[in-house]
Amino acid sequence: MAGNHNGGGADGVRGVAPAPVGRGALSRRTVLKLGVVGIIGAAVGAGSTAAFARLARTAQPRYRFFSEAEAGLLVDICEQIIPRDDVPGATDTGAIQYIDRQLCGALRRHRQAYREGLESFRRTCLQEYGKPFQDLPAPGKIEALRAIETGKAPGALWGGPSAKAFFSLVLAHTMQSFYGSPRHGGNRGYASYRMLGLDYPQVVGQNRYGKA
Amino acid sequence: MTPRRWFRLLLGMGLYGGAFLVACAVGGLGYFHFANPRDTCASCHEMTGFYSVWAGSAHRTVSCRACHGGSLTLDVHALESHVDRIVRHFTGDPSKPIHLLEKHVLGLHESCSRCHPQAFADWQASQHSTTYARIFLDPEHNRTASPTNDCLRCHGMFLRDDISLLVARPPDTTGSWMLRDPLRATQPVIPCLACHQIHAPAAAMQAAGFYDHREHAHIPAYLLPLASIRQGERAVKVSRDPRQRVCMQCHAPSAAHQLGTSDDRTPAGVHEGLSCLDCHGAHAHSAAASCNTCHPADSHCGIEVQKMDTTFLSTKSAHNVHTVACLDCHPQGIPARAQLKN
Repeated sequence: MAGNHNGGGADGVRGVAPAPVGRGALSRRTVLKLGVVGIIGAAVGAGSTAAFARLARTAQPRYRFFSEAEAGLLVDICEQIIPRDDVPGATDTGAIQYIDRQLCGALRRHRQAYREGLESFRRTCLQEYGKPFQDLPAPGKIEALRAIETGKAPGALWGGPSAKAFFSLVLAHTMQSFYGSPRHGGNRGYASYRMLGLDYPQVVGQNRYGKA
Repeated sequence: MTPRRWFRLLLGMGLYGGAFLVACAVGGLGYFHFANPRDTCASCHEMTGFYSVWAGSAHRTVSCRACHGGSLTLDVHALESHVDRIVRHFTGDPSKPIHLLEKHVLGLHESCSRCHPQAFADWQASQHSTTYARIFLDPEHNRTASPTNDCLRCHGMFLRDDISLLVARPPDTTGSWMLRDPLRATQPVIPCLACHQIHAPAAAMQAAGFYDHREHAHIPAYLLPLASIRQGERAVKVSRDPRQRVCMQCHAPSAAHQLGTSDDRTPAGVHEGLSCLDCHGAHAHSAAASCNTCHPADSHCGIEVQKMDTTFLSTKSAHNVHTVACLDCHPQGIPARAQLKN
């Protein structure tokens, strides 16, 4: 049957010997089948990729490590540590982006401390002040942070890191984000360098070293 | 079923299965090639930032694949790069930002020249299109200097490696340096992206930026520091043109910021306060026709300014055109105008 559809007959009509139907020859029907399979495969490939991309986009969180709620709370804490005044503050300079990125890298060991610490912080605010930290007035936020910094928060709520240890951790990382190099995710727009009057990159000519 | 029929059945399944898988791959790659990048590459954490900045840039109408290559490509480097990104996405350290490698930066030149042919031609004709061989294999320079990573601040800034991986010192330290990869010899050391941030915000001024080798990032011109230059004890007035700050990152004075030291070309004397770009073309860098912009054909002295004894006329002149002052040619004081006319 394959031989009837291989097109060799046409050549035979013109007096040329028909091509032998070898094991490798594909019949017209086989080519058609392969074409149909190919079209279906391409459609499946494109469709599944599109579906996967849509799935990935809808499930795409804004942060690598933090949940939205955790990030919102941490942004508010960091902003109290380095508030915006005439220079950008922790939020503007990307403190949350720095901490979030580094918790997936060099600061990975602090993941548990953040997860437990933020939960303890949230519960402390609800128990002691009756509302979430974000809803407290500015003086109330300072008071809450002072209590946590000095270890006056209820110890029973702090099962993971102690309140003081957690505050020190957040303080250190907020400072790192603000004063460190933007390459690590914080200090957006070299804000702290400009605040300090630090020229970066320094305007300096060739640093040549003569041959030893 | 006979073994022969089994064989044919398996062969058929393999053939159709293989065709199906290949078609799936082509379909998937085709989707990635043509779909909106927001639905494909930019849906990953690593790309979101780049995509956002690009979406607000002057190049937002240029598709990602026009510069970075699409999925349906036979370019081995592009494919390798795409696969590497996917592998890093799933296995690598996501805290590490993605950067263009030098081979990608040089690959972009074709895209740059396609849309900006005049600017590209001007750059090619300028000294800024200089090559690795010209900079790193200069026997005169090699005799007096040792390779240092600071070279990479202004030449070959997209290299990730230590300079010892770029050039080898001769064993006796008296001969010329050698490029470890001879193919680099003809490659440009100051590519377009050295001074241009392609994903920069749309405002024209913000398109200029200096690529900082140490930070592996562009710093927009308006964020670069304004150098304080001194001539002796006197502070020189420096143009506030942000684009000049890009020039001054490399054409910079020594650490004491004295005028004319190291590679400094800050205008002083009669040209004090001018920007580099007031006289030099942005890409051609030639200042040949610039005098007429400000000067009449003849100066106050009645001499054509282009024929005055400055380095503009001859590089052997003692009067550097960047810093020439009236007193350089009139050490006894500037004659009154009436006297000059006589």
